[in-house]
Amino acid sequence: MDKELKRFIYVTILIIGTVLISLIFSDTTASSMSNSTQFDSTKNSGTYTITQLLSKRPLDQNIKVAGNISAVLKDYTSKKGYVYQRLKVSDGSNEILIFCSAYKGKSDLTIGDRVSVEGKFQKYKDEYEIYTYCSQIQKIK
Amino acid sequence: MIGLTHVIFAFSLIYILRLPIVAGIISSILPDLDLTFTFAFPLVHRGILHTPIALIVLTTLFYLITQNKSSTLAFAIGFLTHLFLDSLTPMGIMWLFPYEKYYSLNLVYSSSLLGNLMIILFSLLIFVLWKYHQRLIVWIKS
Repeated sequence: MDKELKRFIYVTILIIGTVLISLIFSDTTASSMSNSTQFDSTKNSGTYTITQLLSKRPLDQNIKVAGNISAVLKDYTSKKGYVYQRLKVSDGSNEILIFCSAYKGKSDLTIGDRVSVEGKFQKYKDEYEIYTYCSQIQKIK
Repeated sequence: MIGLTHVIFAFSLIYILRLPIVAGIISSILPDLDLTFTFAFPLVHRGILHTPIALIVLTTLFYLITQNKSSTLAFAIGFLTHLFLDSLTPMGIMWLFPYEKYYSLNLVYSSSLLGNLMIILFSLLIFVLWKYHQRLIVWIKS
Protein backbone atom coordinates (compact mmCIF):
# COMPACT_ATOMS: atom_id res chain seq x y z
CA MET A 1 0.00 0.00 0.00
CA ASP A 2 1.26 3.43 -0.84
CA LYS A 3 2.92 5.09 2.19
CA GLU A 4 0.97 8.32 1.80
CA LEU A 5 -2.30 6.40 1.75
CA LYS A 6 -1.28 4.55 4.91
CA ARG A 7 -0.45 7.89 6.52
CA PHE A 8 -3.87 9.24 5.57
CA ILE A 9 -5.59 6.16 6.97
CA TYR A 10 -3.73 6.36 10.29
CA VAL A 11 -4.50 10.07 10.66
CA THR A 12 -8.16 9.44 9.93
CA ILE A 13 -8.29 6.57 12.41
CA LEU A 14 -6.63 8.74 15.06
CA ILE A 15 -9.12 11.57 14.64
CA ILE A 16 -12.28 9.52 14.24
CA GLY A 17 -11.16 7.06 16.88
CA THR A 18 -10.67 9.87 19.38
CA VAL A 19 -14.21 11.11 18.75
CA LEU A 20 -15.59 7.59 19.12
CA ILE A 21 -13.65 6.99 22.31
CA SER A 22 -14.95 10.25 23.73
CA LEU A 23 -18.45 9.10 22.80
CA ILE A 24 -18.01 5.68 24.40
CA PHE A 25 -16.48 7.07 27.57
CA SER A 26 -18.70 10.11 27.61
CA ASP A 27 -19.26 11.33 31.13
CA THR A 28 -21.21 14.51 30.49
CA THR A 29 -24.19 13.01 32.29
CA ALA A 30 -23.44 14.31 35.73
CA SER A 31 -22.90 17.82 36.89
CA SER A 32 -22.17 19.63 40.11
CA MET A 33 -22.61 17.58 43.23
CA SER A 34 -20.40 19.53 45.58
CA ASN A 35 -21.56 21.08 48.85
CA SER A 36 -21.10 24.46 47.29
CA THR A 37 -23.97 23.74 44.93
CA GLN A 38 -26.58 25.67 46.80
CA PHE A 39 -28.87 28.24 45.30
CA ASP A 40 -30.17 30.97 47.55
CA SER A 41 -33.24 32.30 45.80
CA THR A 42 -33.50 35.19 48.23
CA LYS A 43 -30.43 36.88 46.79
CA ASN A 44 -30.94 39.39 43.98
CA SER A 45 -30.15 38.08 40.51
CA GLY A 46 -28.51 40.01 37.69
CA THR A 47 -30.07 39.50 34.27
CA TYR A 48 -27.80 38.39 31.45
CA THR A 49 -27.94 37.02 27.96
CA ILE A 50 -26.17 33.70 27.69
CA THR A 51 -23.41 35.30 25.66
CA GLN A 52 -22.87 37.85 28.44
CA LEU A 53 -22.78 35.07 31.01
CA LEU A 54 -20.07 33.22 29.10
CA SER A 55 -18.05 36.37 28.55
CA LYS A 56 -18.42 38.08 31.93
CA ARG A 57 -18.50 34.83 33.91
CA PRO A 58 -20.06 36.00 37.20
CA LEU A 59 -19.08 32.81 38.98
CA ASP A 60 -21.08 31.76 42.03
CA GLN A 61 -23.46 34.66 41.62
CA ASN A 62 -27.23 34.52 41.28
CA ILE A 63 -28.15 35.29 37.71
CA LYS A 64 -31.18 35.25 35.45
CA VAL A 65 -31.40 34.29 31.81
CA ALA A 66 -34.25 33.81 29.36
CA GLY A 67 -34.36 31.59 26.35
CA ASN A 68 -35.83 28.51 24.75
CA ILE A 69 -35.25 24.95 25.84
CA SER A 70 -32.95 23.54 23.16
CA ALA A 71 -32.36 20.12 24.70
CA VAL A 72 -33.74 17.92 27.44
CA LEU A 73 -30.97 15.61 28.58
CA LYS A 74 -31.10 12.48 30.67
CA ASP A 75 -31.92 12.90 34.35
CA TYR A 76 -29.15 12.28 36.81
CA THR A 77 -29.69 10.47 40.09
CA SER A 78 -27.04 10.90 42.74
CA LYS A 79 -25.76 8.07 44.90
CA LYS A 80 -27.96 9.40 47.68
CA GLY A 81 -30.97 9.15 45.40
CA TYR A 82 -31.48 12.83 44.65
CA VAL A 83 -32.80 13.46 41.16
CA TYR A 84 -31.46 16.24 38.98
CA GLN A 85 -32.74 17.32 35.61
CA ARG A 86 -30.46 18.55 32.87
CA LEU A 87 -31.66 20.95 30.23
CA LYS A 88 -30.06 23.24 27.74
CA VAL A 89 -31.34 26.75 27.21
CA SER A 90 -30.56 28.80 24.13
CA ASP A 91 -31.25 32.46 23.51
CA GLY A 92 -30.31 32.27 19.86
CA SER A 93 -26.73 33.35 20.35
CA ASN A 94 -25.47 30.66 22.68
CA GLU A 95 -26.70 27.91 24.90
CA ILE A 96 -25.94 26.84 28.44
CA LEU A 97 -26.59 23.83 30.60
CA ILE A 98 -29.18 24.13 33.33
CA PHE A 99 -28.59 21.65 36.09
CA CYS A 100 -31.60 21.68 38.38
CA SER A 101 -32.51 19.81 41.49
CA ALA A 102 -35.86 18.07 41.36
CA TYR A 103 -35.93 18.16 45.16
CA LYS A 104 -38.84 20.60 45.13
CA GLY A 105 -40.47 18.97 42.13
CA LYS A 106 -39.56 18.10 38.53
CA SER A 107 -40.26 20.31 35.57
CA ASP A 108 -42.21 19.14 32.54
CA LEU A 109 -40.41 21.33 30.06
CA THR A 110 -39.96 20.30 26.46
CA ILE A 111 -37.85 21.53 23.58
CA GLY A 112 -39.08 24.86 22.36
CA ASP A 113 -40.56 26.06 25.65
CA ARG A 114 -39.64 29.64 26.39
CA VAL A 115 -38.34 29.94 29.94
CA SER A 116 -36.83 32.27 32.46
CA VAL A 117 -34.17 30.68 34.62
CA GLU A 118 -32.85 32.10 37.82
CA GLY A 119 -29.99 30.31 39.47
CA LYS A 120 -26.35 30.19 40.44
CA PHE A 121 -23.80 30.49 37.66
CA GLN A 122 -21.05 28.05 38.39
CA LYS A 123 -18.30 25.95 36.95
CA TYR A 124 -18.13 22.18 37.09
CA LYS A 125 -15.18 20.28 35.66
CA ASP A 126 -14.15 23.33 33.64
CA GLU A 127 -17.62 23.75 32.15
CA TYR A 128 -20.12 26.49 32.95
CA GLU A 129 -23.69 25.82 34.03
CA ILE A 130 -26.62 27.31 35.93
CA TYR A 131 -27.70 25.52 39.05
CA THR A 132 -31.25 25.97 40.31
CA TYR A 133 -34.35 24.14 41.45
CA CYS A 134 -36.39 22.67 38.59
CA SER A 135 -39.59 24.01 40.12
CA GLN A 136 -38.21 27.55 39.83
CA ILE A 137 -37.73 27.43 36.07
CA GLN A 138 -40.60 29.55 34.81
CA LYS A 139 -42.34 29.15 31.51
CA ILE A 140 -42.88 32.50 29.87
CA LYS A 141 -44.78 33.61 26.77
CA MET B 1 -8.44 18.53 28.00
CA ILE B 2 -5.42 18.24 30.24
CA GLY B 3 -2.05 19.27 28.84
CA LEU B 4 -0.71 15.74 28.55
CA THR B 5 -3.64 14.66 26.38
CA HIS B 6 -3.03 17.56 24.03
CA VAL B 7 0.66 16.77 23.83
CA ILE B 8 0.30 13.03 23.24
CA PHE B 9 -2.44 13.40 20.65
CA ALA B 10 -0.52 16.08 18.79
CA PHE B 11 2.70 14.08 19.03
CA SER B 12 1.09 11.00 17.47
CA LEU B 13 -0.49 12.98 14.67
CA ILE B 14 2.61 15.01 13.88
CA TYR B 15 4.85 11.95 14.01
CA ILE B 16 2.65 10.15 11.50
CA LEU B 17 2.74 13.22 9.27
CA ARG B 18 6.56 13.30 9.51
CA LEU B 19 6.64 16.89 10.63
CA PRO B 20 8.89 18.55 13.22
CA ILE B 21 7.71 17.34 16.61
CA VAL B 22 8.83 20.19 18.85
CA ALA B 23 6.91 22.90 17.00
CA GLY B 24 3.77 20.78 17.04
CA ILE B 25 4.00 19.92 20.71
CA ILE B 26 4.56 23.53 21.76
CA SER B 27 1.59 24.74 19.75
CA SER B 28 -0.60 21.90 21.04
CA ILE B 29 -0.53 23.43 24.52
CA LEU B 30 -0.11 27.07 23.56
CA PRO B 31 -3.84 27.95 23.64
CA ASP B 32 -3.99 27.05 27.35
CA LEU B 33 -1.68 29.95 28.04
CA ASP B 34 -4.96 31.80 28.56
CA LEU B 35 -5.39 29.94 31.85
CA THR B 36 -3.03 32.57 33.23
CA PHE B 37 -5.10 35.45 31.88
CA THR B 38 -6.89 37.66 34.38
CA PHE B 39 -8.38 40.06 31.87
CA ALA B 40 -11.81 40.68 30.44
CA PHE B 41 -13.40 38.74 27.62
CA PRO B 42 -12.14 37.70 25.09
CA LEU B 43 -8.81 37.49 26.91
CA VAL B 44 -10.10 34.66 29.12
CA HIS B 45 -9.71 30.91 29.16
CA ARG B 46 -11.35 29.41 26.02
CA GLY B 47 -11.46 32.95 24.67
CA ILE B 48 -9.64 34.39 21.69
CA LEU B 49 -6.59 32.18 22.09
CA HIS B 50 -8.84 29.18 21.43
CA THR B 51 -10.04 30.37 18.03
CA PRO B 52 -9.06 29.85 14.40
CA ILE B 53 -8.14 33.55 14.28
CA ALA B 54 -5.44 32.95 16.89
CA LEU B 55 -4.32 29.91 14.87
CA ILE B 56 -3.92 31.99 11.72
CA VAL B 57 -2.23 34.93 13.43
CA LEU B 58 0.19 32.87 15.50
CA THR B 59 1.02 30.53 12.62
CA THR B 60 1.78 33.51 10.41
CA LEU B 61 3.99 35.00 13.11
CA PHE B 62 5.71 31.66 13.55
CA TYR B 63 6.49 31.48 9.83
CA LEU B 64 7.77 35.06 9.72
CA ILE B 65 10.15 34.23 12.55
CA THR B 66 11.31 30.76 11.50
CA GLN B 67 10.91 30.94 7.69
CA ASN B 68 10.50 27.16 7.88
CA LYS B 69 7.46 25.69 6.13
CA SER B 70 7.44 22.24 7.71
CA SER B 71 7.84 23.61 11.25
CA THR B 72 5.09 26.11 10.54
CA LEU B 73 2.81 23.35 9.31
CA ALA B 74 3.58 21.34 12.44
CA PHE B 75 2.82 24.42 14.53
CA ALA B 76 -0.52 24.92 12.79
CA ILE B 77 -1.51 21.28 13.13
CA GLY B 78 -0.52 21.15 16.79
CA PHE B 79 -2.61 24.24 17.47
CA LEU B 80 -5.53 22.80 15.51
CA THR B 81 -5.42 19.57 17.51
CA HIS B 82 -5.91 21.62 20.65
CA LEU B 83 -9.00 23.29 19.20
CA PHE B 84 -10.29 19.91 18.07
CA LEU B 85 -9.87 18.21 21.45
CA ASP B 86 -11.39 21.14 23.32
CA SER B 87 -14.39 20.92 20.98
CA LEU B 88 -15.12 17.49 22.43
CA THR B 89 -15.87 19.08 25.81
CA PRO B 90 -19.22 20.63 26.75
CA MET B 91 -18.06 24.22 26.55
CA GLY B 92 -16.36 23.89 23.18
CA ILE B 93 -14.68 26.81 21.49
CA MET B 94 -15.70 29.77 19.38
CA TRP B 95 -14.97 28.38 15.92
CA LEU B 96 -16.50 31.44 14.28
CA PHE B 97 -15.00 34.15 16.51
CA PRO B 98 -15.63 37.14 16.51
CA TYR B 99 -19.09 35.58 16.47
CA GLU B 100 -19.27 34.74 20.17
CA LYS B 101 -20.90 31.34 19.96
CA TYR B 102 -19.32 28.24 21.44
CA TYR B 103 -19.51 25.07 19.37
CA SER B 104 -19.08 21.72 21.04
CA LEU B 105 -19.63 18.00 20.49
CA ASN B 106 -20.29 17.75 24.25
CA LEU B 107 -18.76 14.31 24.66
CA VAL B 108 -16.35 14.44 27.57
CA TYR B 109 -15.42 16.83 30.34
CA SER B 110 -12.01 18.40 29.89
CA SER B 111 -10.90 17.26 33.34
CA SER B 112 -12.39 13.75 33.06
CA LEU B 113 -9.72 11.30 34.17
CA LEU B 114 -11.18 8.42 32.20
CA GLY B 115 -11.76 10.46 29.06
CA ASN B 116 -8.25 11.88 29.05
CA LEU B 117 -6.69 8.51 29.83
CA MET B 118 -8.54 6.78 27.00
CA ILE B 119 -7.53 9.43 24.48
CA ILE B 120 -3.91 9.26 25.62
CA LEU B 121 -3.85 5.46 25.38
CA PHE B 122 -5.52 5.47 22.00
CA SER B 123 -3.13 8.07 20.64
CA LEU B 124 -0.17 6.04 21.89
CA LEU B 125 -1.65 2.89 20.37
CA ILE B 126 -1.94 4.54 16.97
CA PHE B 127 1.63 5.84 17.29
CA VAL B 128 2.94 2.37 18.15
CA LEU B 129 0.97 0.74 15.34
CA TRP B 130 2.30 3.31 12.86
CA LYS B 131 5.89 2.98 13.99
CA TYR B 132 5.97 -0.78 14.20
CA HIS B 133 3.30 -1.91 11.75
CA GLN B 134 5.81 -3.52 9.41
CA ARG B 135 7.22 -5.64 12.23
CA LEU B 136 3.69 -6.46 13.36
CA ILE B 137 2.76 -7.62 9.86
CA VAL B 138 5.86 -9.81 9.71
CA TRP B 139 5.12 -11.22 13.16
CA ILE B 140 1.50 -11.96 12.28
CA LYS B 141 2.52 -13.67 9.04
CA SER B 142 5.14 -15.83 10.73
